[in-house]
Amino acid sequence: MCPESERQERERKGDLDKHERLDVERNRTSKSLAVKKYNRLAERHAYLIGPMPVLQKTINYLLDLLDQPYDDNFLAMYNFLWDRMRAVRMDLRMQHIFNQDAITMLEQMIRLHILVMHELCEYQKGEGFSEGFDVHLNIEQMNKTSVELFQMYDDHRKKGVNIPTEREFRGYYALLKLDKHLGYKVEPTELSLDLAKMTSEIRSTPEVLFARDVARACKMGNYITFFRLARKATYLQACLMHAHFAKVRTQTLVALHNSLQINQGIPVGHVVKWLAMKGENVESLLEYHGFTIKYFEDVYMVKGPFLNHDVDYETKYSQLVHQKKSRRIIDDVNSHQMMSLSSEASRRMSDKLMGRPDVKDALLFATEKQHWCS
Amino acid sequence: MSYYLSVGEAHRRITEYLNRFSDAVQSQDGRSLKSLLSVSSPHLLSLADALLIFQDWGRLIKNSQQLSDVLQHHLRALHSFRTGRFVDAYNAFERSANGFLLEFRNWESAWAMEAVYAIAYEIRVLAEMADRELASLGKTPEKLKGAGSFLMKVFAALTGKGPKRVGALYVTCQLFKVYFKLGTVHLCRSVIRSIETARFFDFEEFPKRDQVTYMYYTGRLEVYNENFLAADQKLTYALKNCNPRSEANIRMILKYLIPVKLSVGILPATSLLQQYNLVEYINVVQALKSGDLRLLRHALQEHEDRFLRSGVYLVLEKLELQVYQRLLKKIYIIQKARDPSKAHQIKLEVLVKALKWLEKDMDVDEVECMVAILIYKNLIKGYFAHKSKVVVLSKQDPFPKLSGKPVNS
Repeated sequence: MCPESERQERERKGDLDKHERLDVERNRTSKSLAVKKYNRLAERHAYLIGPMPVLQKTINYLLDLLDQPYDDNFLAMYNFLWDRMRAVRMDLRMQHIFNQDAITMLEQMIRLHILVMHELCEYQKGEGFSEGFDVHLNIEQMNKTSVELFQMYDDHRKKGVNIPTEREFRGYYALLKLDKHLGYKVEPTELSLDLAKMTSEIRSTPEVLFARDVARACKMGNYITFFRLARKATYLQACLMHAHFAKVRTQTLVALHNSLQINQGIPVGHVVKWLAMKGENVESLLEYHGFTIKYFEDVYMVKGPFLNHDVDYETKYSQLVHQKKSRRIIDDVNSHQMMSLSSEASRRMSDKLMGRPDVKDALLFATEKQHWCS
Repeated sequence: MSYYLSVGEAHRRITEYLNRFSDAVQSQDGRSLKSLLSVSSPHLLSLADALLIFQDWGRLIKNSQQLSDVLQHHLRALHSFRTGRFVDAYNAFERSANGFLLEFRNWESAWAMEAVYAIAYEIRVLAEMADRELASLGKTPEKLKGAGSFLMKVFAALTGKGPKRVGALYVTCQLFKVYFKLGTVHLCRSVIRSIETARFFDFEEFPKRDQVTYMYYTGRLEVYNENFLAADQKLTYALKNCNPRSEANIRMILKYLIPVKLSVGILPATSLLQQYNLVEYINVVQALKSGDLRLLRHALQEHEDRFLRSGVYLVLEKLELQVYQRLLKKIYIIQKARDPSKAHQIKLEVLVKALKWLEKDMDVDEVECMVAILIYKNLIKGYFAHKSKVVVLSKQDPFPKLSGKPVNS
């Protein structure tokens, strides 16, 4: 999995990842432990580029490491996998390997990049924590891998072969592009241009429709729809949506703040439901934005002066997303997470067939039976 | 035709062309040179036919001839173009164009500007044809990208201080066309920065024609980035200054200006949409007028491909908020007709029913959420009483008009 010359050199320099060390020794590794490191420069010798069987073996080995539950080791393991997988991609690229096996590899890598977005969100790199999780780099690599993957899909399409998993990954990519992220800028046009480039079949798959619904809810600030979609989402979709949870919640509280009269309140239980915060510290979020918590028969949040308008509450691990994951990491990286043809998609189909009654009639009908409150 | 051309006649046409070329360069006649460089225009058809007959044309270009290198490649481009080999034509043209640019840089005056315009135009058009040829052969289309790099070199040759600067905007517009076609619009940014921060040149001094094209493309970029005020200003400028007889151009501008105007609450007359064949917007406008959410959704679905390709889809999708506003206003008006004293209180339950009629299944929670958003975005003035599930509208101006300003984001 690692060219001999590199292995010896890294042994000499002690440049071995924890996962590569033999008997925890800094300077010793073995054939079965060392994995080729990513190198920005193209290989000078062709024999240093791993042929497909070696790359496949490497990926299998790396994925085997994920055959375990999510735990505190995950960050270190991710930091190792991230780099070695990148090296595999480099070798694939150098050899122009576009086949189904290469596609499967890239798909597995992307799934890993997605799930760490949520799983490691509280381990973010920062001052005094340089070993932490780098959101920006992670998204950047996910982005690049997706672009390569889409080229492979397109190549197959040209030859008349449709890859069934394409819609899953087009959907993820659309979710990735729906709005700017922490540390990653997305221009408003990108989603629009991406959609325009898709074939209309792909554009109307449940996965892409789902992403478009999420994008609309997110941009509009429709927190009810947004979090309902998050409940419906697959684990990986939810991980991508999670990047926007904090922002949507802050927007919601701004909107509610605007819509309430001074000293008026809303039961906190409702807010918990709306913002999908069951099992999380909602009170601290509310207080952060200047609401006070009062106890009458129920717990209420009461409007005060709004605080921290410009700074979203820090991104925290979400119970909603947590519930969706598998017991072992490998299962989330390997499984095709495709949606069944949703009610949404079928609704869109039936919309096209149905006529539409007049709005005014509708309103008259609706108001007919109302008893007005005074 | 070409088959009846005699060798002698072919020879005569080629030497005549070479002489005219020399004269144009010698007398610094940019306009004549322009017509001699336009490979894809029908002017040069008879010369191209002559090249097919008199195969040994290369011999006629003497080394003493000015720009002999440029001419060699140029005639080869013309020859390939005439025989329908567009990739070859492009490659030869690019070499000729590079040679010409080299000379042009050394000329102090801007006499050859017209010729540079022709080259900038031709290289883009040839690249598009070459890419179609490549794609049909199953190869990667890459010539337009190459044309983009060449145009950047031309741009760099024009942006210094001096008389050549007047041509910078034309080349910029060709670059825009390339980048929009390639879907790499982010590359426009550096060119724009260079135009907009230039101290040597006042925008108003560029040719009107180029100003309009420039404003059209930068206006479209502002639409993409959802900067509606800037988009409105740029596209309106393009509309006001474009040739009023060019219906096709007006239509192109309106295609973007209309969604921008809709976003700031200004609706076009149906007759305008019909006159310029922009009927895809008719139902969108109707939905805004009637508060019909379903109609908006249908209109977006019906023309999805078109709206996505032109890049206005997400802009139109955002109009939904204004349609909600209109719907609430309608309910308010109906209530007012029945009992003016209670008109300003709208039960969320009523809204739920109205939406159900519009085939939009939303429960009270979601309707309340929409109302909160409408209040926050200042499309409604009022507050809601969460407990009694009622929106209480302000007695004064409960539905503020946007009147030219975008919805708060």
